[in-house]
Amino acid sequence: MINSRFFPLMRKEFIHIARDRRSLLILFLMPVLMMFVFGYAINMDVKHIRMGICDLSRTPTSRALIEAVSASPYFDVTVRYEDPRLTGELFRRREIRAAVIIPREFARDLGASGVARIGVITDGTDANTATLAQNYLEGLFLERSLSAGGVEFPVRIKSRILYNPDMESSHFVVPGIVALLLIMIGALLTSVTIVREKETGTLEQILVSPIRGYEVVLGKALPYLVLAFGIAVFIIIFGCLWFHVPMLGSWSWLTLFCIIYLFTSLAIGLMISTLVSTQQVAMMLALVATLLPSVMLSGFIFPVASMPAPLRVVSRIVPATYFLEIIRGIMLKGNGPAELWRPVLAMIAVGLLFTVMAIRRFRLKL
Amino acid sequence: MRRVLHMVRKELIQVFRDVNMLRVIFVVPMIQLFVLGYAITTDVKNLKILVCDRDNSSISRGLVDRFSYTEYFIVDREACAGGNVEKRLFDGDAVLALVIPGDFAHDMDRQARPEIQILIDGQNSNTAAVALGYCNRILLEFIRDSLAAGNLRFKRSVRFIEPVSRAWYNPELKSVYYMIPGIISVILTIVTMLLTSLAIVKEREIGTLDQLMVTPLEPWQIIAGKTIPFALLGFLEMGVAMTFGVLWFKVPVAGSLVLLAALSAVFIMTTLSLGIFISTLVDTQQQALFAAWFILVTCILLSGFFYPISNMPQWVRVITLANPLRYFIEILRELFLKGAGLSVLWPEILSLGAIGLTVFVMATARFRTRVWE
Repeated sequence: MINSRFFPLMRKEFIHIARDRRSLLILFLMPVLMMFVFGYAINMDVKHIRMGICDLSRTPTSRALIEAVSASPYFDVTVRYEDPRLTGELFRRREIRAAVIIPREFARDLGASGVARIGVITDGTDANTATLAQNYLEGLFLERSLSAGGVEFPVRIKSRILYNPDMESSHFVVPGIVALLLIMIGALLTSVTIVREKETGTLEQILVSPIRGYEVVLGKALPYLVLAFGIAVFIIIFGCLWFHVPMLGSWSWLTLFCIIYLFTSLAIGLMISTLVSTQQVAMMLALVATLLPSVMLSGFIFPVASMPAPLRVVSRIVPATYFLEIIRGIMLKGNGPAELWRPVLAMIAVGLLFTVMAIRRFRLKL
Repeated sequence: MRRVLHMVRKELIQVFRDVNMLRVIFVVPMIQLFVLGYAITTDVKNLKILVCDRDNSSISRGLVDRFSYTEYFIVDREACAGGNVEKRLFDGDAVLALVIPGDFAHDMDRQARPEIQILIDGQNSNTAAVALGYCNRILLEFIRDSLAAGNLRFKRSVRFIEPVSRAWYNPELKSVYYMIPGIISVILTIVTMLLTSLAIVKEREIGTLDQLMVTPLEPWQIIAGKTIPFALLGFLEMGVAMTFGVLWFKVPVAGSLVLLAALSAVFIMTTLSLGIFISTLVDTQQQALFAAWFILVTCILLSGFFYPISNMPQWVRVITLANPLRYFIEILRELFLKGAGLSVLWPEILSLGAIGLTVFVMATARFRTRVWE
């Protein structure tokens, strides 16, 4: 299939890429800058939630409880107030995100019936933080209840965290950023290639030449594959050196799977390119179609398992979902093809699907 | 002024003529709003947990039942039979495993403190922390209830603090309410910033910007003519997205719509100015796209859209102060859910206005010099 007509087209595309110095600079510098900032910035642990405490009980018991809450890294007790009716005002002024209200009869109830109620109010505007705050507090109170009763806890709980024992979120985030950047760069790069020729009218000149449809598509894709691969190597090495992300698996498998992933992302760009007729639309579509889904549906931050069932199906056509599993598996767990064959095959299937669609659409245009 | 109107008309005709463009501007974002509104939760649900119950007594089974009754976990009880638990975690079969030792119930009765093991895949440190929290809570509750029911031969003088939890403004803790304002802001930014920069760069690429310059149009008229249509589009987009969010996701709008419109105008002015600014930095549409993309991703990830700004290191937090998206998302959330008004939101409004004005001045100044360079 590769013949003498194919290479000049590739060469031309390479020249195009190399000539546009400013784009090249943007393409290599931006990802590094982004990884640098986001590697530090993205930290999902919710800590230092500003909290108000309204202690109506004012007993040693209630004070001990307040101390336990203040000692937790999750909460900063910033406001203490006397009148529970102020709670709403504090929330509206955004001074606090959570409040604990200890009722007047707290100590008495605890002594008399053995059960005392306590009010926990969270700001539901930020549902995630509110959920976490509720969980922390409820766990904390339970633990206090048991230990304050002088009961030696009947069970020892030993938790072992595997693969990322320090719970270092940059180890999780950096491979994620690699996946996110590569799919976007790949799709953005190729989305305009065919359209630009359509706009300037040079596509028709190519079409009247004896070159075949798939040769045009591949000749456009391969140079960008080389470019995107260069960027990939660059940012993965940067991530490893700067953030000390461990590399437990094999570099050669990572390289191979990375190329497959890039091929998939270029295929998306090419497909977009065959769908539309102006550069503007192609760029808008590439940006809109890859940005939010790759961030939100892929498991980049939010676990796929926790999504509603229909969305889990949608996440299966987002190639980043698979590559995230692969790159994290290889780097953090030392997985190899024996464990990863499923996502790899799925990724190839998605890539082929987009490629076939691109080539078919391109033929129809002929 | 009539000249500006002519330019606006031309620009609008250009946008509305292109059916594909309209689809990309209106249909695709709405699909995303629909899909992504459901997607996001940092909470843990339906996480598969491998349970290896070596005791298999009524007490240990009762404990395992606790795990299966929650919506957080899906219990796989056959973990012991299926070979090594750690091997299955390594294979990515599950991210969490619970190992209950043999003689668990017996040891608990004679106060020998049996050890329950929780193994967790720490790759996603957030999921791991949340899941671990749930596990601990289930275990604690199990022990509390066993004590209360007298199932354990223990002194029973334990006193319980029972939290009564309420989440205000969003009692069911729906993360949709939290995400919709974020998604609307992002879509609005994409449409206004990218479209403006592309429209200007395109004119330069094909040479029609030079033609405009030899007309009697002043630079400000060119800028106005180029931005007003996209401001209108942005407003339209915002209206459609909000209507959709309110009707479909039932996002409450507690605050004033007039204030919302005014602040959206300030935000759209900021993103449009960013678009003009980008257009003065680059030569081709592709470069404009990459610059816009870079600004966009940075703004989104540093906006507090997904995770709180308070978690970021100090120097990153300083950077976020210059992020218009950060303020707009905050404003939308507070305004939608809490009905916050000027008296509460003024710091955000001032910051947003200051950023908008700065970018606007910079963009127009650069545009002038660039046009007559």
